[in-house]
Formats: sequence, C-alpha cells, structure tokens
Amino acid sequence: MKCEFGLSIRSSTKDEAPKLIELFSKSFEHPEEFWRWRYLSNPFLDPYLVLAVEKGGKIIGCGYWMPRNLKISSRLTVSSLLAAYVFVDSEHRGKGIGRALLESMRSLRVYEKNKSIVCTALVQDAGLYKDFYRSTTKDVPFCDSTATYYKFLNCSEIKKRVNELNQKLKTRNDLHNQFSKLKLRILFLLRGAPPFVLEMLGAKMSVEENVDSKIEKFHGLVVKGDLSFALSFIDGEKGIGSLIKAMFTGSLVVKARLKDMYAVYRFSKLLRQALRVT
Amino acid sequence: MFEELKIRTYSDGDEDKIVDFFNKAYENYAGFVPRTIEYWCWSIRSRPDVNPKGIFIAENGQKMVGYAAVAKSGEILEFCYDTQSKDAEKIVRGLLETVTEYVIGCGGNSVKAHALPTDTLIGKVCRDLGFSKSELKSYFISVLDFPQLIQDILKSKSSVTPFRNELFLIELIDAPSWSQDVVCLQFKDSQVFAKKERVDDPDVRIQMPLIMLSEIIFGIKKPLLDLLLRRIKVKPFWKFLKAVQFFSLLRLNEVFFTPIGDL
Repeated sequence: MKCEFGLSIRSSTKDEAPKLIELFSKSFEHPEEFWRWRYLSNPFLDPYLVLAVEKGGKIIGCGYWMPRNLKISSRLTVSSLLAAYVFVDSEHRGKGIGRALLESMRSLRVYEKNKSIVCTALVQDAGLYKDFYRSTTKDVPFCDSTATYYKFLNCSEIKKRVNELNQKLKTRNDLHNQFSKLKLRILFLLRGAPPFVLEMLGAKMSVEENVDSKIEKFHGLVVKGDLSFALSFIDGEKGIGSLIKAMFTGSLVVKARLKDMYAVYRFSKLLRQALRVT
Repeated sequence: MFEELKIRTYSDGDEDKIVDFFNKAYENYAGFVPRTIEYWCWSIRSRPDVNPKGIFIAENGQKMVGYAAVAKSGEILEFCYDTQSKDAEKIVRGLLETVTEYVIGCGGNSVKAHALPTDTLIGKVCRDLGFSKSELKSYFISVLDFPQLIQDILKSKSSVTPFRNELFLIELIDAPSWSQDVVCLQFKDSQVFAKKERVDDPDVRIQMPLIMLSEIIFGIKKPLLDLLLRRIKVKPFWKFLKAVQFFSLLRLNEVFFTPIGDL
C-alpha cells in the first residue's frame, strides 16, 4: 500500500527479521535478546501480520500483531489479533506514520487471513489512547480491566520519573522563572513505596531517600496516602482538584500550613502547564 | 493441612501441571487465551527475562495449590491459586512474599502483580503487604468485523432471541474507510444471519456512531439514554423497544482479565 508520505506499507518477510530486530532494539528499552525471543523464537508469529513501513528501500517503521483465540464471554471465543508493538524510527516520528500503520492493518484486511474479528491492545498512556487509538482505530476500554498492585522496593523508579520531568521542565524557558520562585519540600509517606522527600528548588526537582519518617522532626509538607495517587499527581495526570477531593475523602492526608498549600497549588498548576505542551 | 504447604521453584516436567492449573483458574473469564504447553514454554519458560528460579509452585502435599512466574524486573507475569482452599490466603501471601524476596535478590526495583478486579483476597493480601493499587485501565479492544461479531454473540445467546422473522439494519454513521458502515441482520426462525450489505426496507433501522456500538457490546455504555437523546436513532420510532431488546442481547457483561504474560 502506497500512502501519502511517499512510503509503502506491506507485510514483512522472514528475511527482514535482522532489520526489524535492529529497529525494535533502537525503539524500545528491551535488549536485542528480548526481540530475538519475541520475533525469531516465536512459534506463533506470522510474518504476514508484521507490517513494515519502507522509505527508499529502508524500513523505518513496523507494526506487529499476534493471532490468538480470545474469550469474550463465558460462552464465546473469537479469533482475535493482539496489537503487540507499533513503532516508528525516531527520525520519522510525528508525521502520522503510526496512524497509517494502524489503519493499514485494517485497510489491507491483514486480519482476514486469520479470520480475526476483534483486535486488542495494551496502551498504558491514557492520553495516547484518547488522542490516538480512540480516534484512529475506534478502540474502547474493556468492560472492567485487570487490577494492578505494585510496590516500590526503593526510590529508583520515582527518581527516574523525576529526572524525566526535570528534562521536560528544562525545555520550558517560559515557565522557568515561575518554577525557580517555588521552594517546596514534601515528605511522602505512601503505601507502596519507602518514605522519600521530594524537593523543588531552583526550578529543579530532586528525590531524597532513606529519610526519617518521623513527621514531628520534618519541617515542611507531609503527604500520607497511596503511591498510585502520588504518582499521578507528580506525572501531572491529576491536579489540585483531585488532591482536595482525596483529602476530603481521607484517601490522602496532608499536614501543611496554608502557605505550603498555596505553593503546592502553584506547583501543580505549573506542572500541568509544562506537561501539556511537551 | 496448612503445615504441608511448600513453595518450590519450577523443575522440568512441571509444564503440564502448570498449564492445566492456570487454564482451570481462568477458563471462565473473558479476555483469557487458553494455554497450551507449547505456548507456555515459549511465553514463560524461554522468555529472556524469566529465570526458572523465578517460577514458583505452591504445593499442599502432592497437589498444586498456587503458581507464580515473575520476570527479573519484578513484574509477575502469571499468578493463580486454589481459590477453594481453606488456606487460600496463606498461599497468596506465601507466593507474594517469596516473589518479593526473589526480586530483591535479583536487584529489582519494584514488584508488580496483576489480578482479577473481583479477587478481593489478592487485594487484601496486597494491601497487608504494603502494595498500592492502580486504577488505570490499559486494555483496549476494537472490532474488525462487526457483522461476524454480532452474529457470533447472538448465536451464543440463541436460546433467548426474542425476534422472529425480522430484518434489522444498523447504519454506522462515522465508520472509517476500512470498516463496514452497515450491518444487516436477518432473524428467521430463532436463527440469525448477518450481512454487510444494505437493504432497502428493513423492519428496524438503527443509526448510531460506530464507537457507541462497540461501547454497548463491551458493556461500557448502556444505550437507553443515547436512545432517548436520539444519539441512537431508531426508525420507525415505535420500534424503540425492539432496539432496546436488541442492545441488551448484544451486551457482554463479563469481567475481562488478561494475564500480563500474554502481552
């Protein structure tokens, strides 16, 4: 299929496996070994269901679906496809190639070979689902999803997120001045994570772990609650409104002076502003 | 007796027991893909981030009562236990504690477990062990072939079909180019036949957005309000109740559960 970007989208062949594995490894965190397992050692893989995007003889993107029989009710099992991975070479992102790939799987009727009647996908980014999958492929969330429970054994994941946020904040020169005026020190005592202190100083956030969890000794804001709520707040998914609601329902307990609460409000507003554009 | 509960790591020859145990635990849930030994060996045993020492089996005497497979990163890919056992809570607790110790030993930063939202026991044990619960919905589904899906659903509920010799036409008003924009359903003598062609004089004509049809089928939306607000149009309007009956037949009410190892 020729598409408007001067690219061709077609099913891949087994011979193209090395090129695809190289692309997989470049685009995702997993090592090459993972992709060899997922692609080369996979007895259920059908190269017909791996679509390659080609430009000038070079593969720059790929969409990979896996066939399976899926139970959609206690009495009904249907043939389905799992949208395993969709990726585009970093140089060519933002040009609608991912959208073209998802549409091509349907337009080329790739699924008809397996008589698939539904397609499932795991999309961990709620924003990506709303902006991309819902409008492109008309995906809907499952009736009730799997519950996920998690526990951080140390603060590495929180530090990683905060570092990513710092990188994003660096790109927002317009907000830098406002962020640099903020001075915040919050002790988080959360279910699912060891105690840690999040500090905002000089437009930079940092995480301190192995801290004393005694509230009396801490000078600053103290937040007691659940890790999932705190992460969605740090990630900018939830704003001050959700924070106040959580405080009223008791799922979050905040010990702070009014002045600190105002600083949190400003921090939340700026954070959401910074994350919205990037 | 609980005293006999042992948790050991996987050894060659356990495959058929694990697959059988796992299938029995989840076979009644929507979203589940029935396992074969070949599939398990590929998806878990030969997965590069799963070590055989990260596959745990709980046994009460000779009987398998629990199973967990965890990646070195701390993600529990598969988890199930004997829900009928008196010691169910101890099995779940024992497995989760063993998994956590293993992940710490591997240098992992977190432990992540996935369970049925209706499984209150796992919820309770996780809470006791200091886990946080995420409400994030991340599994999505789209329909590739509406006529076939609707026919299959109606056939699976054939004993309750209330329609006799009636022709339904569903027009999907915002269907993308790759999708069918009409579904024609002929009910005849308690049987249903779906076609992708338009018919001129259906008994009931329904006009609605495509995504709304998916939402009704997968139980996210109830159609009554949309029918009343004319977001779903029924012609002639006095067949409104037929449309309500039709949508309630289509609706899948089951809880979806997808083991993370499948993804």
